Amino acid sequence: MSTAPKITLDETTPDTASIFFEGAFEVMHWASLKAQIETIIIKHKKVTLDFKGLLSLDTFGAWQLAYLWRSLEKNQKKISLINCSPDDLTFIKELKNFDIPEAIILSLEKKQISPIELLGKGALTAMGKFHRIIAFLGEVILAIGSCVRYPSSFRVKSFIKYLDQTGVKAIPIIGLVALLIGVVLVYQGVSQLERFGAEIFTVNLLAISVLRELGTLLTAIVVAGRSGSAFTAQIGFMKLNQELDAMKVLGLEPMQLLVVPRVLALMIVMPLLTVFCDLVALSGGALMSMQLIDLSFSQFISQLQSSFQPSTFWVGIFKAPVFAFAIALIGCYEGLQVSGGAESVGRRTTRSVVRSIFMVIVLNAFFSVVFSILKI
Amino acid sequence: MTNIIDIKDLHTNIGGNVIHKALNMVVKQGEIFGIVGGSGSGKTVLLNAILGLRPHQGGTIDLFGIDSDIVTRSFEHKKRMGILFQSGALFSSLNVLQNICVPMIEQGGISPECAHDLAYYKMKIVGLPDVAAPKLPEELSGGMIKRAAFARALALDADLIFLDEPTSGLDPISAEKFDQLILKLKKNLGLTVVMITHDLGSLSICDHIGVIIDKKMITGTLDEVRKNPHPWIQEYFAGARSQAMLGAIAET
Repeated sequence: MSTAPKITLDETTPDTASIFFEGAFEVMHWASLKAQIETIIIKHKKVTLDFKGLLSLDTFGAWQLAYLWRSLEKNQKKISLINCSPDDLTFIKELKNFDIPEAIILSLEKKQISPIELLGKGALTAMGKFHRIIAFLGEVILAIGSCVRYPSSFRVKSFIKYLDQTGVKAIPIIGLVALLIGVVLVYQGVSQLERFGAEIFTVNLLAISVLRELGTLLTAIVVAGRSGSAFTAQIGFMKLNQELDAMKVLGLEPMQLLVVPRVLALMIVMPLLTVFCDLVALSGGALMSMQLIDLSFSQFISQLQSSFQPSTFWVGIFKAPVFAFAIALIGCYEGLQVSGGAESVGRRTTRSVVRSIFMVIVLNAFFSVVFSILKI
Repeated sequence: MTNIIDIKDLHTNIGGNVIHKALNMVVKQGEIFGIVGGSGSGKTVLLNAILGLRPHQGGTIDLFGIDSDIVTRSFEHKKRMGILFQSGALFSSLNVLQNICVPMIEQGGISPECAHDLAYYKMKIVGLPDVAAPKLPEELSGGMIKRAAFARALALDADLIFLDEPTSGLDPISAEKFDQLILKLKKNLGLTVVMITHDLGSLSICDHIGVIIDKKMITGTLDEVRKNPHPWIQEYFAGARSQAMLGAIAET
């Protein structure tokens, strides 16, 4: 280890103060050097800097010495340097005269923007985004149309891969979530309805809430978190890696290759996952009802059959591909918007999940209104 | 001169494939050491083994006379090494000046204000223009990325600098300037440089060259290595491009 630096001030001689530097003036002693230099207060007009004991000097040590030199000059001291090697002297002088330009400091600072400007910019950005996403929606529809027209352009292998990735591999997590939701719904339902002696209607509550709303919504949220984010990250990384440019140069259309198989796979998988989610949630509910209100399985089934119309189930299933389309569209769109570096991938992935879930909830509300108007 | 790097009988495997077998390498203080080898010969693996990024299966690696396991785990010793990765590996969320500040603030404990000034000084040393300071890595050209990454490697006045293909992707003029920069910094700062390169121009500034062949290293000066009868070395230096380059170097 190098010797710790020591700065000694001697003001015993009349008129002239001497500062002695000893040890290693290196980065590892930065804090000690800074502290020592900041405490130096000199009364005399003349100051001698003596470097006899200086063992080593790096940029950081030289910077501190240059700082001391500058501050002494600022206080109008007359400075002389002794026992300083020419190399060290040149180095310290170079740093002493070195200043970061004001323009650079300003360029690093964040510009203050007035609220009006911010509002205007925000509105323009939002409009631009809306424009782009509508254009993207059009492109996706055209690409799907083109696949219908020219079936040979459809990428069957990718499509099957995404069926597996977004569907089969999502079964365990959706199953687990659905089971727990079924259990919780019945538990809460029973605890509220038994006050009115109506605990049997917990089955009705379970059936309608799961089949009409929760099954689809839960599946959509899990899929948005699982597959929507994966779409963004995959496409985003490919874009950073210039794979999209390579595809275009080779005459391959990224829309056909990357977006269409994902969108279609998700639209097919989501209704199936919703059916699975409904079944598991009802099974979880059945288990809990058998425990809490002593229903037999056949009683549960007969109560279930009387509790809902087939349209309740179909409403839930009808919503699934629409949600899937929204999730896949947002996931792919955000992936294609990635630019720059890793941070952009992270930002876009977060945005993709948040926007997908938000969109799913908005669409769900929209469907609720439409179905209530249509009296379904 | 003391040995800054001393590798003895190094064995490395990746997934059952032997990459290095009884490889020896010595780098002396204050020299520029060039590592050459065919694609897939294990140059970057060797660098990663030296830096402790990849475990080695046998042999010893000493850095600054101390076992590399100790050096690469010690915060104090790590400050003595700087690395320029092949792709630059600048932090994408930080601008150039902030990238150079990272080692100063995180490893050196320098206050951010001083680090800014010093980072600007390092920028000037490597010849980056002022306009590069507030730019993000994505906005930089290949040459600027290399320079910014080099400035970051130099941030803490390291004694030992590793350069992984510093001139790859640079035009000949930029590559030449980069070579001169390495030479200048070696002279001014007393750096020891270990450089992986395919560029014969860069090899000409090396004091010693190590060629990785058949999982081992053949070491010598450029002239000594050129005289080695190994077919790969002969092919490497006798190729039309190499001859043209060597001719140009000889003329200068």
